This record gives sequence, structure tokens and C-alpha cells, in this order.
Amino acid sequence: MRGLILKDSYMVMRYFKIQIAVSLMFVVMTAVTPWNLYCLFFPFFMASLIPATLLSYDERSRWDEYSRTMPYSPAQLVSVKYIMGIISIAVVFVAMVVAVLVSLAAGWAESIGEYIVQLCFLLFVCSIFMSVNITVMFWLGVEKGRIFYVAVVAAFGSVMGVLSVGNQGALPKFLGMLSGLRTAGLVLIGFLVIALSWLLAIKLYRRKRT
Amino acid sequence: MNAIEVKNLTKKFKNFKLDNIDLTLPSGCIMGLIGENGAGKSTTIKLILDMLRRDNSEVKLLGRDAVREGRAVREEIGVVLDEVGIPGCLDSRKVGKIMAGTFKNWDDGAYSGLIGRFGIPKNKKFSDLSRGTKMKLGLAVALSHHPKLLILDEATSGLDPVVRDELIEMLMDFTRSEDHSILISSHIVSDLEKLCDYVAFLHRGRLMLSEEKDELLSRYWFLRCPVEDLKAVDPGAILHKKISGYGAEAIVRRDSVPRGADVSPVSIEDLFIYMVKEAG
Repeated sequence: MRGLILKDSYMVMRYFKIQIAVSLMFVVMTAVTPWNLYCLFFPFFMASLIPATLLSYDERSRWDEYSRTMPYSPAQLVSVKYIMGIISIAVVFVAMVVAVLVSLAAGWAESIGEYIVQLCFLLFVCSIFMSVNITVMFWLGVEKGRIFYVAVVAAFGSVMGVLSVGNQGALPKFLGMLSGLRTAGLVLIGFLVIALSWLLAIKLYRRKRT
Repeated sequence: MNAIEVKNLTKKFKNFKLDNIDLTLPSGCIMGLIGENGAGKSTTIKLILDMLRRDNSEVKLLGRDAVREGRAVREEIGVVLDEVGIPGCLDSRKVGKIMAGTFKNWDDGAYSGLIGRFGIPKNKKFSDLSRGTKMKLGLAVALSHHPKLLILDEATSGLDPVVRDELIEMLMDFTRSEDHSILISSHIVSDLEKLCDYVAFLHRGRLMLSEEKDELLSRYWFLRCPVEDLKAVDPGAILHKKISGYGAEAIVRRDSVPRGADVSPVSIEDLFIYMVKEAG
């Protein structure tokens, strides 16, 4: 397993330099303009894409086949992508918390509570995005999986758009409803979705060998 | 002990079926899996390695069940695939670190030695290496965890003759140890002829033969004679014949050749080509 994590870490350092730099820029921008939701969202979104992009590089280099000749179990070959995704999202979360704290200290943000709710909401959304993305890629393959994922993101964006434009009160109500679940509950649901998708992806991977 | 024992290996796809393959490779020997493009060589190897699920079969590698004990077995097997499979951004140093975290028996010293011996640059990305050097890196990885069995899928195809010869020498070195075995697939029959103790012919998903190379070669002659003389040969002993205005050419069983006939040794390549043509 150590070898797989090391390999994916090398890939992230090599292929995600620009995304890491842009995400870092957005983290800094969050500290300066903490009310800007887009700056909060973008690094989370990039982090949730990392596992799927790694899968696509694996397929292109035929590492997906080569790794099956090594002493790894199907569960390990799938799990490494989830581990990379969780680490990436966790790093972004911590960076964002630091950014918000800096913002508070500088007097640009008013209260941390509101931002923690937003960060947890993003954690929840990215958990869903990442889970859907990886599961679908193990199910349909990288190419079809990517199309499916774009469709899911587009559908999500459309729903959010309709909620915020069609009825001014709907999106805040929706967010209010989610915050009513309590922030911890939301994060727990996200983790539960990751766990379920993780198990499903292992099953799909085993079946894909046919 | 047998390095590989395969019984009734079967896999059905939409447009292709690998049908009831039986293979046995004794320990310490090299087997060449020969077949035209699309014959099922890579599929056979993937099924043996449990990279694909089999419809039916029993596969033992190094005396152990290849599915139930798959992970333990793969610790003792080195594999080189036709595209190797190393990501393009990695150099040989990073590959070594990754493999050290992969194989329990990884030997850094052996790996560095092979990298030096093969002349593989340490800081050059895999995608920037020539095909020959990529193959050598794949082989260095495959050899550096002290495997007992090497499985190579089309490892020599696309290489220039000098590099192919070097690779073949490396493989011969590997089998100097009695418990080291190799299964190598290729459609370049001349390479396998130099290297192998056993040959297996695959054609359209079916195994035409699997036996010891020397025994196979000692059973047949290449016969050139007038057409009339060929009629005297038992038809059942003729593997293949070609009749032209200049006379007849045939591959025949040695014990059926008329005395004084113009014969020459047959090659594995001739045998394979003629058997494939006969099979249609």
C-alpha cells in the first residue's frame, strides 16, 4: 500500500502543480475576502477531482493493468484513490480554516461560526462529488465516468441556480435546512457517503475484471 | 515442481473465445507462447495472472493457487507487459522507491546494479526513454524482488535486434538458477526459438500444441522432392505440403521420410506457420 500512496503522491506533485498553485491563491483570497463563496468552493472542488484524474492517468499509462500484477488486493488498489482524495480535501479544509482565522484576526471576517458551517457544507458537497466520481469511474471506466460526472455537477449547479435565481429565498432556506441538520450531522453524512461508495467501488472493481 | 500449471483455461468474450488451454511449465525452464496477433497470448497471460476473471480453469503458479494465494504468489513473480505500465512522469529512482513499498523482497542493491548494467538514466522521465530502455526498466523492476517466475508479454516486440539480443541474454542469465522459470509470449518466433525449452502454439484462442522444443524439432524434417516422390510418403505423416512447378516441399514426420531424400531441419517458425495455415 505504501508503494501505491507514494506513486500517487509523485503523480499529484507532478501533474497538479498548477491546480495546487491556483488553489493556494484562492485560499489567500478567502483570507482577504471571506464572504466570497467562490473562493471557498474552488479549492474544495479541485481537491475532489484529484482521485478521478489520477485514475485517468493510470489508465493512460496502463498502470491500472501493471498494478494488478503486483501483490496488491483489489481493495488496496481502490482504497488508494479514496485515501488520496480524503487527504486532498482535508488539506484544503485545514488551509481554509487557517485562512478564516487569519481573516478574523485581521478583522476582515466577523464570526467564525458562519464560516465553519460553510466549510462543513463544502466538505459535505465535495464528499458527495468525490464519491460519485470515483464510483462511476470504477463502474463505467474513465471516459464514460467523466461524462457522467460532468452531468452530475451540471445538474447540481442547475438546481442551485434555480433555487437562487427563481426564488430568492430558496437557497438560503435550503442552506438553513442543512445547517439545521447540525454541522456535525452534515459532515457525518458526507463521511457515510464516502464509506458506502468506497465499498461499492471495491465491488465494482472486482466485477470489472470480467 | 511446476512453475505453471494451467488446466482448462477458458474465457469467452463477445467476439473471441480462449478455449480449454492446458499448459505446464516445469520449474527451471523457459516456455515460449507463440501466436499471431490476436491469437490470445495476452489474454492467456492476464488470465494466468488473475488480471481477468476466468470462466473455468485451475491455475497454479509455483505450486500455489493463483487466485486464493494470489498476493503471496505475486510476491514471487516478475511481470513485464508490452507497454510496461510505468507512469510517464516517473524516473527510475522514483520507480525504485515505489517498488520498495510494494514488494516485501525488494532489493535496492540489486535494482541499482541492474539500472547501472542496463544503462538506464536515473533522472530521465519514463516517457522520455526509448522503447528498449523502457523494457529494460520493466525488466529491472521485475528482477529486483528476486522472483522465481518471470512472465513477459510481447517484451521483445518493437525492439531493434541489438536490444532484443541483450534482453534475451538477460533472460538466459536469469534461468541459470535451477528454480527460475520464464513464460514469454511473442509473435517474433525467432527470438523464442533461441531461448525456449518449451513452446506452445496458440491460434485463434486455441492451443495447437505445447511441448518440449527439441522433441518437437526432432520429430519433423523439411523435405524437398519431386511431386511423385511425395506420393510415396504416408499422408498422415505430412504436416504441411506445398506443391509448385519446381517440385514439392513438405514438413513430414522423420520416421516417414524415404531414404536418400533431400531433407533439412525444420525451424519452430516453419512449424508454426505451416500449422497455422493448416488450421486455417
